[in-house]
Amino acid sequence: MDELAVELRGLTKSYVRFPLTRVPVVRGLNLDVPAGGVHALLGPNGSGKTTTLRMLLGLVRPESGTVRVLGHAVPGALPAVVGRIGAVVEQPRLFPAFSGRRNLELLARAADVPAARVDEVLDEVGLRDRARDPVRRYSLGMKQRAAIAATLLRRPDLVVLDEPTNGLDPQGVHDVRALMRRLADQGRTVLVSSHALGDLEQVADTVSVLAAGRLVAQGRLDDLLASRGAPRLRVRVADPERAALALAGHGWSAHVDGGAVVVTDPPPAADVSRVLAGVGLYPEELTVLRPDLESAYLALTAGSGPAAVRDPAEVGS
Amino acid sequence: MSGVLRAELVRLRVRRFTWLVLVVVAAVSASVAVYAWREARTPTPAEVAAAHESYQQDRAAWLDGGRDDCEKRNRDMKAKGFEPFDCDLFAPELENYVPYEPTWDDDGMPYLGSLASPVVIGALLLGASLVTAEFGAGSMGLWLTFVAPRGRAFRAKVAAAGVGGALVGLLGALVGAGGTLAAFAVLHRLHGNGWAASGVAGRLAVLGALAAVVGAGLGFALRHVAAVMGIALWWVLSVEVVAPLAWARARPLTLGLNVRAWVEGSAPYTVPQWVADPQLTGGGSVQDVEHVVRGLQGGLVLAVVAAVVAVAGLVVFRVRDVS
Ligand SMILES: Nc1ncnc2c1ncn2[C@@H]1O[C@H](COP(=O)(O)OP(=O)(O)OP(=O)(O)O)[C@@H](O)[C@H]1O
Ligand SMILES: [Mg+2]
Repeated sequence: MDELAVELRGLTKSYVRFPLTRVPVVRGLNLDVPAGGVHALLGPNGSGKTTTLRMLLGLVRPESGTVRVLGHAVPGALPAVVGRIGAVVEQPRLFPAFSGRRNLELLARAADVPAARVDEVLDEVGLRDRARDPVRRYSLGMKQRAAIAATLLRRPDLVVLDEPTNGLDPQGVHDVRALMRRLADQGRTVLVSSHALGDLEQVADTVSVLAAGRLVAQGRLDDLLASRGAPRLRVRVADPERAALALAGHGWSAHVDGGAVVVTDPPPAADVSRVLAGVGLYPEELTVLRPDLESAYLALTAGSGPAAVRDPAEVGS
Repeated sequence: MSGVLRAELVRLRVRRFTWLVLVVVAAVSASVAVYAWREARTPTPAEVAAAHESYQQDRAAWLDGGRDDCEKRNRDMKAKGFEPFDCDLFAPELENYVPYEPTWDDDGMPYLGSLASPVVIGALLLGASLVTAEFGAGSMGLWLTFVAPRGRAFRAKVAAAGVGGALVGLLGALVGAGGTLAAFAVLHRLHGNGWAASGVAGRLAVLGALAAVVGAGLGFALRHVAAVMGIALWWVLSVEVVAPLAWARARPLTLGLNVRAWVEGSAPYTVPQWVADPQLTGGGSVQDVEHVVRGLQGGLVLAVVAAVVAVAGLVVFRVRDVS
């Protein structure tokens, strides 16, 4: 799938901080989001994820660089694509004094979506029961659900979700994950920024990682994880030292780590069991250790904490 | 009508603030009408009879020595070298005794001008808050992911604000002008052209619409209702009040005068000017010369101001980031 849902080139944005110092928050960002599938946008607090999402929605004007969304230049051709995008950026922002239903009805009216669609999306996010309450009385998770419902009104080709699971209960997190998968399976593109790496690992097809306003990694999730090295095998036995020696004797690289034997580039677990049994050691536990998104993320973003608390000159330079 | 405008009108209708403004404007306009009811009262037959009676008494006293006293004092004054005066001026006249009978044209219509202030303030607040509430709640960002380009969102909001402002003006006219007209019609024979009130109603509606557009434009430019109020207050104090003191010729540009001209049909103002005296070559004096702002001129000035503020709001809205 070569088509790109989002294509950012040389995107730059800085904010003026009093008195008159410009603090760059996005620095020459090139980002590709392939059409179809779930794309996770990762990065530490303040790395510029929300700013980037706002730029591709035309809410924030970049200083330089180009934005193309669904093949159209933004913000110039925004009217041509705005009907194909659904987005919640940062906190869900509906009118607090109006009910969830009224908010959605107003948006539906503005977007020329039939009013019947409002009930459908309310059902889809499980908010039908509380739809008549003013949004100001919603819990955080309910606001989040209402905002996600808003993004779905127009059956968008591109769904942009900024920390959608923030404040959701476990059922809600599960529902949002399933929703993202469902949208992707329908051929839509979901661009999601989140810190819930465990959830993203289950659902994302592609990822990009920002650190201090720059791209530090981008690609398929599988490739990213594979690049972190092959899986390893952890074996717990009564005598790890002797076990490591025995395994090394078979040409496997094994070492003791924290009271267990870790075999890198491991052979099938059954072979390991057999060799250990041969020397009278019986494994109490055999675990395949795969590189996960969290470890990959931590390695990629090491040293680029929240940009705001660091000297701007030093960040990412 | 586009879906966006319909959505904005629904929002205008369901906002509590809209209703609050309408209630307050109606209440203030009602107080104008109440005042008019008091002023429009026709003298009762008893009052008229009493007036006739005291006239007769004074007249009798005047004829019975009062006039002679006056002539005598006149002669004394003349002896001291003062100009004599006409004693007939002091003779009691019936018209000075009978209580004044107010007429719609002279006493009713001028009240309607005082409806302009509540309408302008109410409509300005209505327009400003319609826009700033959305920035305040942060929902402008969400809205703009539904409506593009920004000019389209802007137009719908300003149009909705204008509709709201026109309603404020109509309500003010209905309660204030309607009440005043009723006062004169019920308590009194109308003595004048009652239809003129409908013209005032139309002009108040236009005034309300323009004020709401100004409010919305300022809302887009400043994003906080407090900032809008601050600017409006600054304008009134410095430009409307102080500037004409320093430069009298700026008076026809003050909004207060133009609002009055628009609502009342015309508004006079004076400018101190050098007036040559034909009897003295090269001589003359500085006198307050009266000028008039005509109704249409006032309306035009207000429309231009509303357009300028709206364009400024649009320009700021188009370039500034929305979060
Ligand atoms: N309106 C603004 N004015 C000034 N600075 C801003 C503004 N919005 C964002 N920033 C700054 O830009 C930087 C990037 O912010 P952004 O919200 O894009 O980060 P993020 O990656 O979304 O972080 P998080 O994970 O915490 O949501 C931060 O340093 C932030 O302080
Ligand atoms: Mg963010």
